[in-house]
Amino acid sequence: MSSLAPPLSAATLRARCAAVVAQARAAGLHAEAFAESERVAEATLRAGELDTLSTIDETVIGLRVWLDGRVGFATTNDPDGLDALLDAAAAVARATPADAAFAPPPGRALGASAAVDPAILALTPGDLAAEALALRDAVRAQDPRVSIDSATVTASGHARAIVSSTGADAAFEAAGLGASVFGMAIDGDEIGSFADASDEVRARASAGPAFAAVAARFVRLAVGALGAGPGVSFRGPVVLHPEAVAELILDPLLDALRGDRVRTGRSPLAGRVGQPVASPAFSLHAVGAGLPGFALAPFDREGHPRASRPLIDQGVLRGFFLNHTDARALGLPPTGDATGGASGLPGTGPAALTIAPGGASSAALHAGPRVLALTRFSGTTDAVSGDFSGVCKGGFLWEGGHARPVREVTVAGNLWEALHALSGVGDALHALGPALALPLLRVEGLSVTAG
Amino acid sequence: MRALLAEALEAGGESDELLELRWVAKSFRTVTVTNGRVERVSTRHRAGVGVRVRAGGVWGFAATGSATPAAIASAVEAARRSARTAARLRAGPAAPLGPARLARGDYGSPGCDEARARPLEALVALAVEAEAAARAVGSALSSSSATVSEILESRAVCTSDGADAAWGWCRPELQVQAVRAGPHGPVTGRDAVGVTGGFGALLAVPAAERARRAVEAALALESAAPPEGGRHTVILAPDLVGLLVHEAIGHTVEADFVLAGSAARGRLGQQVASPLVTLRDIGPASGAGGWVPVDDEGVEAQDTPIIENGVLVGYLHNRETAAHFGVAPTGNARAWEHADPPLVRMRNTCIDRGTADLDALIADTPDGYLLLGAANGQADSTAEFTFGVQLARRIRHGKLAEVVRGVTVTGDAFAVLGSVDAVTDRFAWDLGSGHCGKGQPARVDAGGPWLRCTALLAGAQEADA
Repeated sequence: MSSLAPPLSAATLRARCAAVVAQARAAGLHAEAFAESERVAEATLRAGELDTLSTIDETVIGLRVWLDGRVGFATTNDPDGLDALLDAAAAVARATPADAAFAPPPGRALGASAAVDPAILALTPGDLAAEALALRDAVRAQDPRVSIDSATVTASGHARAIVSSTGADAAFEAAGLGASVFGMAIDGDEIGSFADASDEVRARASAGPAFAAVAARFVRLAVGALGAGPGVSFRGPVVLHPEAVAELILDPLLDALRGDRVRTGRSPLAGRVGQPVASPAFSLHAVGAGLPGFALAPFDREGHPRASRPLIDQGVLRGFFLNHTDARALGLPPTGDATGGASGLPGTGPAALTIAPGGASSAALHAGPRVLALTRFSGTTDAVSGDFSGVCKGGFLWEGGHARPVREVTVAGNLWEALHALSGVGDALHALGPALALPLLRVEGLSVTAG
Repeated sequence: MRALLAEALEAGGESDELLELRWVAKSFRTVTVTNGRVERVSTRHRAGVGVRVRAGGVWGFAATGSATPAAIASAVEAARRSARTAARLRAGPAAPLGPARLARGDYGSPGCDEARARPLEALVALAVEAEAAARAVGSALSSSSATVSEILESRAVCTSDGADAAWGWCRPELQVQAVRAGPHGPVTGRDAVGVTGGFGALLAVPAAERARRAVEAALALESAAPPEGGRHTVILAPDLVGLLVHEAIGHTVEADFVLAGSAARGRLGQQVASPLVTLRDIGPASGAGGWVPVDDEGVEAQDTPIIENGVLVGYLHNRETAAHFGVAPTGNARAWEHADPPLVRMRNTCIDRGTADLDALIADTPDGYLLLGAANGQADSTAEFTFGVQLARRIRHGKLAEVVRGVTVTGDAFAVLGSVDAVTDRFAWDLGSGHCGKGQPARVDAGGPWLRCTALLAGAQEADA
């Protein structure tokens, strides 16, 4: 057996799921069993030194049952405790009032698929320690001022399966190799802001360039925060770099696109499909199969096929993330966006995303008498009202084409207004991990306050 | 479980290497009611054993979800192999672990017996009651929800150098949220509480009152405008004092961050705050949401002074960082579940009460903001902190004036604490619900009195002419 093969294979998980679903049917229940099994090996550096080598085995089974219009869910990490799991899920259903909204999702048999590189499964903890130390050395070689608080290299073998009494039957196996670095730069008495970078690959051969890019991004973010001086208060253009696009734009926007938010009155985008919600320069796409080089399971948490589709197309809202419950309540078909694992009920959200690149160069985006380059954003965004405010981390003030780092600068505005105030979209996509590719965005009219 | 771990410890054989076995069993129950409908009910059980072996200053870690002697023995072997492999690769020196107050015995389990006897229907009924109360208060809510959750937990630790302890807790939480479609757009009001113990402690403020507070916050925010961006005098409520000490100071003095170069490094013995500020992190703080009697390395959790009268006096330690600094461990090594290795984490962090009166303090503030209700927060290596505020009141000429929304506070932690010029005599643990994230979650609490200081508010600016 390969050293990192999951404790239970996808075939075994399917069999366990089928067994507990059959048991539930015999008791007069509809049921859906979702199981995951994983072996994870990880090398961790702390304060730049090798600290821990770990190996963790975990198998989790989550069971959802339907009984007379009631739904119950329970989960366990004891794969031999299926009788108790069924009892627990049924007990939850009995404690829950009946509701016509609850019904088992119709399922499809999608069969088994895999994205397994045996070279990843063959990695040993010692190999990962060597990779982690090489990552550290690559970071330090680029700039000796960086201080690594923690860094990890992780390899895993993963299996998942779903079987339901309404026909869902699918399984997936994958291997992944990832790296992350977290820390800051220190120059004499000056300490820079926290920086972090991470990525994960499906092929052992891809790890070298991917981890080199992680090291380069970490160093760029960490060192870029040094030497910062006072900022300037103004109201005007801000260029959001990819990390800031994710934190400031995507996090609350994706929240507002969730089906449960839409159907419970907590999304300002409810009822606006077909309407403009952003500048025509803005297009947001879900990539169901995953971004190139990082294949995802072809089915979602409810066994529905994942698909690629526009969410916002040239500023016009095209759809939401819908699991079966949300879709049923809204009278729409499910979109294959049920998220989560065996440890919880299905949520909704994207598996992989991209914002379409535009035509603006980085120089053009930063042009003007006074522009703030927002590298990272640390603050609060209310996904309902859209109000946001927070601190610019590692940012730069561009004045007449010249940039200088600034500190203690805050940014405030409203997300829904900012989406319409986009004046430029960068011409290059930047990968943030294996499931997100984003361009730079320029937004007009934000409030910038210097301390 | 202590017997099973002790047996596994003995089966692990004689060795100079430290062997640490930790059993964690967690049961989660969660109920969410939204707009009058029981939306989500789930239970989750996760249990297992985490094993660490320390060799040559490096840890090997393995975890198993099966608590059989064979599975634990296999995890011990995996952890030992990893530790020995890592020890061969580590170049830097590591201080041997020093003496610690290792825990032995049963350290209690507040709220657990009550929780085991509580049917799931009781959680459903409480969530239904809280959500209905919100709708009863707010006639025009576009959405209302209430979530009741409960984590019932048992832990045991045995180490080859003498720890042999068991403890547990129940941590119930209640959150209420109300959304109104105000004239200037939708606004959200929230109220939340989290404790260690039973429903008596959770409902010291009744659920209906929590619902009323959430709805009234939404109502107050409807017509509110953003603050003026800039540096202002602010009076912080105890929950925001809690967020300030957690984000601004607490993370900075976690000794693993200190070793990496945090802003607190090299500042022991220095005046880092106003003499009015005395700050501590307490493990066994009765009733607080982050109550911890023993940490996950088997060390008795201490009442740990961090700042005394403005002077930085200590950091938060696990056994390894304590050895590095030549001090006793403080019992701050915490792990979320059995499969998580312990990290340096806060427990219950607070500023001690002072002598000022809140009403007099407001009357003594000619121009400023009264900040109420903690939202999220983030820390930074630079000591620059950020936290969100649910609702603020402008103070003009010593009187409370208009409501302000969308407030985010930031500043250099030490500069802000240096600006503290008044600390009130009222104290509360009040971080509400929620968890701190540092690679893995940890339930923490924080609080203090009301205090007045100067900080930077993110806010609106006029367009350039």
